Amino acid sequence: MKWDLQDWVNYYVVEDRWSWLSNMLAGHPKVYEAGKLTDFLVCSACKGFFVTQEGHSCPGGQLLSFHDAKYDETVRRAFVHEWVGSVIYEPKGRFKEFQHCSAQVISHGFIESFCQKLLHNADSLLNEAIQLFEGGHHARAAFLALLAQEELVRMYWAHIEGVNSDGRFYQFPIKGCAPGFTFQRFYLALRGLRLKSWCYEKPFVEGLDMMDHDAKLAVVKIHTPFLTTSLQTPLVTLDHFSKYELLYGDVQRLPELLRYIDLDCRSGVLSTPDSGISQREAFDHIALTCGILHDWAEHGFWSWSFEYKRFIDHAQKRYQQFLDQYNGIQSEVFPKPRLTPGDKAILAFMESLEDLGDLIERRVVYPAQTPKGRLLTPVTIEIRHGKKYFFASIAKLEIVEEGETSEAAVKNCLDTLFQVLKSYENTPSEQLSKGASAHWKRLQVVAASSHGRHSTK
Amino acid sequence: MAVIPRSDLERALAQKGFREEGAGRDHRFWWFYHQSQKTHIFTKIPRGSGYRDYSDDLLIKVKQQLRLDTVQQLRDLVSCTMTEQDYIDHLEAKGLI
Repeated sequence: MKWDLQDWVNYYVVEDRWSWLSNMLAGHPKVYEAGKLTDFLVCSACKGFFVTQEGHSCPGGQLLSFHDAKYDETVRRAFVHEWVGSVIYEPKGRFKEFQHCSAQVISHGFIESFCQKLLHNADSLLNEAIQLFEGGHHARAAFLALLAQEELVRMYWAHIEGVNSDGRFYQFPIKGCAPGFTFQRFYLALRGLRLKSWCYEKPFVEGLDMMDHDAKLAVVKIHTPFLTTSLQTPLVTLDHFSKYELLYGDVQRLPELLRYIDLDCRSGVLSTPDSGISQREAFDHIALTCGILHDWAEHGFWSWSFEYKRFIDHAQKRYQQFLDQYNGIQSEVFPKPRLTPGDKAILAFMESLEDLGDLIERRVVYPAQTPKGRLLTPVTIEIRHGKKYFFASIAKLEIVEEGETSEAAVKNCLDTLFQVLKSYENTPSEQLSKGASAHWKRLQVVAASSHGRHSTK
Repeated sequence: MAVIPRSDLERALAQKGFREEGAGRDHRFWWFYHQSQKTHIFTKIPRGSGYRDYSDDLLIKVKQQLRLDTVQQLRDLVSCTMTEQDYIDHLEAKGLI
């Protein structure tokens, strides 16, 4: 079955699909420029998009507003027709050869395995980048870190194809293809072309030029908490071909590395860039790649497997180690977490809580009076279910206790909190270690003992 | 894995720099002292008959409280394969004391 423009119009005009599409249209340059959705018009005769200011007059045509489309199928159809007409992707050149298998479904297994390969490629590239960085080869290290980022970007888009086979968000129209999973879609996702429809920088149909690496990341970063919270300034713009020449000085390894590079080889021209890459820039790229690898690693594994957890742990550890090891480098792009020894101890304590069993509940206990003391501020108690016992923990106070029921565990945990507090209160301050004093201070913020040395009883 | 009798656990704690303190009706607190100073590392040992032997579940909790990485390390601590100095080295390496 061949899908064409009219099929796509029929597909999108259905009300619930329209609501998604209307969001897409709201991001269309014309709507964007107009500022208001109500100013966005379509002519019922020529089906063209217009904004109020253009004062379009078409013989026999009526300007219908975007707002009306919600309630009127005719108007909706006109908008959809116009949108599909402007964004439908028409396979050209070598893409044509895949057209006959447009309805071919790509299995989740295939994509999963593909993503895992990309993930491991990225991981090994990053290893090599860190080694090079340690050896003082900063430019080469940065280059490999960038290649690793490329792999992760591709993995991310391939993953999205996998998990959105039933969704509407990525069902951009392709000429000759039905909505859903097609070879073309997957192929485009792998090449990163889908990003064009996000940016609206160029019409979607304008050839097969690749977006550059930084443009991809700029778009993708909105999908990862790591990047949105940490990345303050744009990435340094790099051209892979230029960097390659700078780094390796020849092109012997080019074919070998090209498998990692998402570039249009036909137009790639090698040229010497103006400057090299400093240690700080290399540091930024590697640290960023480590962060992305950690954040996105989950996309490479659909099942929650031991291997997945090990990989995430490994990525997290490497990221932290790398930052710690080069603590002196002042990064402009990447903020480094500055953890005190106390913070590190709490972090390690929190991580090891997982050994106690499955987390079944997070309970916030509000300030309250108990026979042993008084909570001054709310505390979050995590309750886990082990093989035989329940465990309750207050991570920030490094307290964990067990109980035969979850309630007993919570009670025991709070009892311990007050008993520890009382114990500190009854110990001369000179006999407390630095760690104990700090721990006491943390406890004092949270709770007050009923029978401490200041008690009237 | 084999259980560890509570008495063995407490004996080991006493030998490795822990001091018993604030014994209540139903539990004992053991605090780790380093260079004659009380640290923030402690464990609470229940006195109930249901806690005479420590199975894996409880050993994981004690391991957590003593800031050991594995249950095997706790077993080593109890069996004296891990000395007090080894334990101190471990805590120092983790920046805990």
